[in-house]
Amino acid sequence: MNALAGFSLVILLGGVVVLFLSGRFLSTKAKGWLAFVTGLLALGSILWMAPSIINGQTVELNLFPWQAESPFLLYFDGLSLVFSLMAAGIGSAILVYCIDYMKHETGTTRFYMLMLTFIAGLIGLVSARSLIMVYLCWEVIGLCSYFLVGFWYSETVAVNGARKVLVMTHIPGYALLLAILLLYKDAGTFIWTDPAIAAHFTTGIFLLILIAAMAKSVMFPIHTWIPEAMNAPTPVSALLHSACYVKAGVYLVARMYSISPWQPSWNTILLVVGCATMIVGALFALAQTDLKRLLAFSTISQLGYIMTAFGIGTPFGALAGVFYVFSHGLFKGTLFLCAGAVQHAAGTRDMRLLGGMAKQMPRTALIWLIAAGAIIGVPLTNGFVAKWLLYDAALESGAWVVVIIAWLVSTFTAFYILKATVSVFYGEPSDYLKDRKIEEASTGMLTGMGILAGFSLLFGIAPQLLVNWLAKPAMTAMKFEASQSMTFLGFHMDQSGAPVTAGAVLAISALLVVWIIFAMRKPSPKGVSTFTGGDPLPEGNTLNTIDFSEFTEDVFAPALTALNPDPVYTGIWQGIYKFSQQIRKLAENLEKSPVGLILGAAVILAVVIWLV
Amino acid sequence: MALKELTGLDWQIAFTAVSVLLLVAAELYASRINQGKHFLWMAPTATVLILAGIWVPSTMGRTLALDAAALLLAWFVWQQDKQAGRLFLLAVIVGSILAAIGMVMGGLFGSEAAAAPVGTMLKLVISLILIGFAIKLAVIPFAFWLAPMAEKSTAMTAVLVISLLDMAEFGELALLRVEAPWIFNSVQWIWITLALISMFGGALLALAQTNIRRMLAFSTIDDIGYLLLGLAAGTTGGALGALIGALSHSLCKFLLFGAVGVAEKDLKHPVTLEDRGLSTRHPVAGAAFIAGALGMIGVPPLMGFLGRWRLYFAGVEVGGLTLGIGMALATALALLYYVRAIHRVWLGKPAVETKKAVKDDSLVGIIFIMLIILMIVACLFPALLPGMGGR
Repeated sequence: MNALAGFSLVILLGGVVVLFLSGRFLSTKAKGWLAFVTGLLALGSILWMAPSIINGQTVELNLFPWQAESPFLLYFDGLSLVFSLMAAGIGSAILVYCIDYMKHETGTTRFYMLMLTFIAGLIGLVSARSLIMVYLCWEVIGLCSYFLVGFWYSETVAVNGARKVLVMTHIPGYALLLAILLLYKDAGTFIWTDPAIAAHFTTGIFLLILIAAMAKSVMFPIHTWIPEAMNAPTPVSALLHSACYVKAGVYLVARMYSISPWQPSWNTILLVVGCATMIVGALFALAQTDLKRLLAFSTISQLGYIMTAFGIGTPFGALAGVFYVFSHGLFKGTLFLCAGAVQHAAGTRDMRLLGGMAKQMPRTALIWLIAAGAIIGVPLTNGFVAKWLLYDAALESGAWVVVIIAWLVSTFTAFYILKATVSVFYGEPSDYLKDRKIEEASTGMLTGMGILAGFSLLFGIAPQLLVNWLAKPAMTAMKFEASQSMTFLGFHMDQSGAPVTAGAVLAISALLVVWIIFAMRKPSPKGVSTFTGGDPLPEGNTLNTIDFSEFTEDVFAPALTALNPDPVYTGIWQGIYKFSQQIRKLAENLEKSPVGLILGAAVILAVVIWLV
Repeated sequence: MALKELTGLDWQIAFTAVSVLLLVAAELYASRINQGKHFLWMAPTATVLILAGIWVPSTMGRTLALDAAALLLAWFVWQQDKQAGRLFLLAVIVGSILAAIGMVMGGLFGSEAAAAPVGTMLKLVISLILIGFAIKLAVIPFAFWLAPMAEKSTAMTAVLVISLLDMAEFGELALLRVEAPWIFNSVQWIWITLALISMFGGALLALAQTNIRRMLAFSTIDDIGYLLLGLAAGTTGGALGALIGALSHSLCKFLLFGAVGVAEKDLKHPVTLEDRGLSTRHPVAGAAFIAGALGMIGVPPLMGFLGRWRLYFAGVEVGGLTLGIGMALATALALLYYVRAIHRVWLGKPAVETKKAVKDDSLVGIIFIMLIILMIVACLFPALLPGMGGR
C-alpha cells in the first residue's frame, strides 16, 4: 500500500511532462482531455489508498532522497486524505469543465500544465512529512496561482491581479520558512511527526505559521489579493481561489493540531481572526456588483467560518471545520463555475448588466440554486450541515459571541447570494442582454458543475458519508476524539439541547427558503416585489443590484473604509519607494568620486576593525 | 579540498560545469545577438583564466589567474564604454592589490596553511583582505563599478563579469573562509554588518532604478550580501548555502541579462520601466526573465531555493529570529523590485509601438528553456550537483 503514496504525484507530474512535450501537436480539446484523465488517474490513486486511511492506517513513502536534511517523504493520514481528495476530486471536475470552457483559448498547454502542477503541489503539501517539503510545495502552489491569475498576460488587469497575489502571499510565506527553520534549529529535524518538533512548538512558531496561513487563506487583513485574482480564467478561480488554494492555510492550521496540543490563547487568536474575517468578507460582498468579486469576498467570509470552526478547539469544532472545508470546496467551486458559464454566455460578469438568464440557461440556474442554497445553509445541502455543526460546536463550548457573529454573517450571506441570484438569473433580461444570443452552458461544463453540485446535495442528505469517511479520520489525525455520529440530513447529533433548537430552525428556514425559491421562479411582469423599509417604490421600480450595492455602500461606508487595509499597504510601498530614492541620490553623489569613496569607506572600515 | 570536506559540494567541478555551460550558451547567444567584435575569442579566454583561477593549486596562482581574467574583461568593457571600463579597471586594480597585499602579509600565498597573525598585523591583514574582496565582489559601499559596467556593456559581457568572474572571486573567498577562518571569526559582526548593508542597500538601490540593467546590477549587490552572510556565519549550512547560491546566481543572471538583451535588440534602446508588455513580442524571453528573477529571490522549485533556505538557516543560527526577519525583509524588497520590473516591462498591455508580433529566435529560446529546466531539476534532485549525493 505504501508504494501507492507517490502515484498521484508521479501521475500528475508525468501529465505535466507529457503536455510539455506534446503540447505543440495536440488540439486544445485534446490537451483538456489529457489533463482531465491525468487528474482522474490521480484521484483514482488517492481513492485506492482511502480505505486503509479510513481504517486508521497511514500510508508512507520515501519518494527519493531529496536532501540530506530532508528526504522527499510522503505521509498520508486522515487530514491529508481530505485535502488530497479535494485537490484531485474537485480538480478533476473543474478540468472536465475546462475542456469546453478553454477550447477557444491560446496558451492552453501552459494552462493545463499549471493546473496539474497546482494539484500536484497541493497533494505534495498535505502529504509532506518534512517541513521543508511543506514550504517547497507551499511556494509551488503560490507560483501556480501567480501564473494562472496572470494567464492572460497581455491584459493589464490580469497581471495586476497576479502581481498582488504574488506579493501578498509570498512575503508572509517567509514567516512559514522562519518558523520551519527555528524548529529545525531547536529540534534538529524537519520531520513534523518527530516528537522533538512538538517539544519545541512555541507560541512564536504558532504565530509565524498563522501569518503564512492567513495570507493564503485570505484572513483579514491579508485578504485583499483575492478580489483582484478574479481576473483569472474562471476554472482557476474555482479551483484555486475557492476550492483548494485558499484551503492551504486551513490545512496548516489543522495540521498544527497534529503536531502539538494547542494553548488556549492560540484558540482565542484564531477565533478573533476567523470572526473578523467572516464579517469583513460578508460586508464587502454585499457591496459588489461584479459577480466573481462578490464570490471572492464570499470566499473570504466563508473561510472565516472555517477558521473559526478550527479555532473552537473542541472535537466538534474540528468536525465542523473539516466538514465545512470540504463542503465549501464543493459549493463554492460550483458557484464559480456557474459564474464562469454566465460570463461565457453573456460576455460580462457585471451584475448590473445581467438578468433573466434562468430562461436561457435553466440548467446552469438550477445548479447555481443548489450551490446558493448550500452557501446560505439551506437544509438538504452540505452547507446546512456544515453551519449546523459550527453552531453546535460554538454552543457546546459556550462561545456565544461566535454564535451571534456567525448568525449575523449568515444573514448577510443570504442577502448577497440572493442579490446575485436575482440579479443574474431572474427578472427581465437587461438592455445589454436583449441583443445578445445567450446559450446554455455546454454539456462538458454542465457536467463539471453538476458533479460538484451533486456532491453538495449528497453530503447534505447523507452527511454521515463525509463524516465517517473523511471527517473522522481527519479528526483522528488531528488528535481529536472522533466519536460523533450523524444520520441522514444531519438531524441527529449526540448533543443535548442543540438538536431541538436546530430542528425548529431547520423547519422554519426550509419553509422560508422554499417559499423564496418558489416566488423567484414565478415570472412577474413587475419584477420582484421588494420591501423597502418605508414607502413602496413607484410602479415598476424594484431594488436591483445597483440600488442594493449603493445602499450597502452608504450604510456601511465607514466600516468599508476602515476595514480596507489596502491604503496601509500602499502607504508602506510609497514610503519604501521614497526612501529608496533618497538612498539613490546619496549613492549617486558618493559615486561621483570613486577614488574618494574607496578611500573614505576603507578608512572607516579599517578604523572600525582597529577598534574591535 | 577543505571546502568540499566542509560542505560536501565539489565547488571546483560544479562551478566549472556551470561556467562551461554558460560559456557555450553565451557563444550561441552571441551568434544571434551581437556581443562585440572580440567576444568570440575573448569569452573563452576569460573563462579559461577564470577556471584556472579555481583549479590552480597555489593561492597565488589562482589569484593571478583571476586578476588576469578581470583585466581582460575590464579591457573588453572599456572597449564598449570608456567610463564604465575605467571604473571597472579601478576596482580590479585596487581590489586585487589590496587583497593580494593582505594575503601576502597574512602568509596565505605560502604552500602551508598559515597561522593567524596577531595584534596589529592581524587587524591590518583582515582590513586589507576584507576591503580588497569587498571591492572585487561589489559589496556596498565599494560597489560603484558594477552598475555602470552592467549598463554600458553587452548583455553577455555583463554575464561573464557577474556570473563567472564575480562568483569565482566569491569561491576564492569561500576557500579562505575554510583555510584561514581567522579572517572571519575575529570580526564576524563586521562581515555580517557589511552583508546586511549590501543586502538592504542593494535592494533599495535596485528599487530606485528605472534602467533594468542597472537594477540587475544592484540585485547582484543585494544577493552578494546573502552569500557573504552565509560565509560570515561560519556554519556548514551557511557555506553550502552560499556556494549553491553563487551557482544559482550565475545561471539566473544569464537568464536575466539574456532576456534584456533580446528585448534591447528588438527595441534598439535600453530597456527601462517605461517599456511595456514585452512578453507579447518575446514570450520566451519574458519567461526567462521571470524565472531568473524568481530564482534570484530563492523561490522554489528553482535551484536558488536550495541555497537560500540554508542561508536563512545560517542567519537564524547566528542572529536568531531577528536576523531571520531582517533577511526576509530584504528578500521582500527584492521581490518588490523584481515584480515591478516583470509587471511593468514584460507583462501587461504592450506599448503601441511594440504591438507588432515578432518571432523569437528559436536558438536563444531553447537556451533559455533548457536553463530553466536545469534550475528546476537541480532543485528537485540536488544529488546531481557534484559531491551533493549525500547532501
